[in-house]
Order: sequence, then structure tokens, then C-alpha cells
Amino acid sequence: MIVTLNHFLVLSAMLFSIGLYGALAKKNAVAILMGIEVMLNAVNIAMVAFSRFITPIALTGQIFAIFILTVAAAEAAVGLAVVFAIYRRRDTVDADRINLLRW
Amino acid sequence: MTDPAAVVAFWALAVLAIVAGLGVVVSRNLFHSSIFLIGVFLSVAGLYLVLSADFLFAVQIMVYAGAIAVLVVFAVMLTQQVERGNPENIQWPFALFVAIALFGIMAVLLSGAIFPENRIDQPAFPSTETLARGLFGPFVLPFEIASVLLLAAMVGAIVLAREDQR
Repeated sequence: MIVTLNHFLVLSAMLFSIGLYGALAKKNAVAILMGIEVMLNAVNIAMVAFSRFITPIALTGQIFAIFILTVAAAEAAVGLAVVFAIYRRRDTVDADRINLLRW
Repeated sequence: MTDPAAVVAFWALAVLAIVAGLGVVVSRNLFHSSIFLIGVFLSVAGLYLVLSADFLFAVQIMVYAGAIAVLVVFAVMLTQQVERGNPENIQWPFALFVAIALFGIMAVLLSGAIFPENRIDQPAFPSTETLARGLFGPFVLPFEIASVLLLAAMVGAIVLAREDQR
């Protein structure tokens, strides 16, 4: 059995779809952010797999993955701070109840 | 990748990552979801190692499993609802359909795609020097912008989460 680039990409697609379901279908804001983190990890797998199989000397995909990781960390910190601030004010983290800006 | 150890490691870590991912979105208890999220992070770190990305393996564990996962656990604990749980909202059947449809399209296209794989060159291992030359060479501008972004995120998170000054 040989493992090719396509195996890693299908795995990345599966993990991305799972994260997408979590981000779309959950009520709790922290659960939505967890789904987003799963999606970002799936994309990182695809990046590193491309780097390994197509440009193994230049490692461009891994540099890209480092930047995705950095941005995901910053976004998780700010997102969870926002969720916490909303919880302190409204005593809820239910995404259906945080609807002041909705039409 | 024909090395049998790598093949076995890939399949084991792939199954682990999928099971942990499903655990994140399906679990009834939000705290269990965060533990499954740590499982996702660690499986992805193992997959980086299978892909010869040793520096990313270490950074993934330190940043994701060591910092972001702790942050998520803090958030889960600090925003505990009286009716604890991890319910789905009203559009969950559409979300399930969209996720399955997207995966179906991507899987069909990706499994049939033919990429110009480079099987001759060996990957740079350890990767740290190549990554450093890249980050301080062609990618120095995104590197500097990323440090400004981290500063902004740090200040923003502190300002958002502090007590109101009355």
C-alpha cells in the first residue's frame, strides 16, 4: 500500500467538512469556534502535504502553514475574548440569542 | 510514500483525527468536545511528522495543544451555562447536507486528480534551517506583519476581556 498526496487531501477534505458542520450547526459560540479551529487544521494538513510531495526542497507550504497557525492563534484569542465579553454582559453564549445586529 | 512505518502511521493518525473531529462536533458535553479538540491537534501534529515537517510538529503541539486548547478550556469553563450541553441549532439538517455534499465533491475531485509529484528530491530534514531562510528571506514581509497582528490580537483580547472601568 502506498500513501500518495491524494490520500492526505481527501483526509483534509473530510476533516474540513466535519469542522464545517460544527461551525454551522452548533448553538454555543465556543463550539462554533472549535469547529473553525478544526477547519484551519484541515487546511494546514493540505498545505504541508502539498509542500512535502510537490516542493520538498523549498518547503513553501510549511511556511504558509506557520502563518495559518499564527493567524488561527490570534483569531482564537480574540474570538474567545469576544465570547467572554458577551457572556459577561448578556449571560448567554447562545449564538441564536446574540442577534442585535440581525435584520 | 512507500515506507511501511509511514503508511501505518498515516492510517492510524488519519482514523484518529477523523474520530476526534467527529467527537468535537457530536459530543453532548462541551468539555468533552474540547478534549476531542486536543485529540485533533495531536493527530494533526503526528501527521506533520509523517510528512517530515518536524518543526511544525513541535510548533503545533506548543501553540495549538499547549495554548489554544487551554484557551478553549478556559472559555468553556468561564461561560458555563446552567443548562449545560452542546445542542445543535435549527439549521443542522442543512448544515449536515452542505458538509456531506462539499466532502463528496471534494473527495471525488481530489481522488481523481493527478499532481506533478516530485518523488526524486528528499525533503529538507530537519526543516528548521530551510524554514528560517524562507521566513527571513522571501517571506520576511508576512513575518513582520504577523508579529504586528499578534500584538494587535494580544492588546485586543486584553481590552475586550477586562472588567469595565466604572
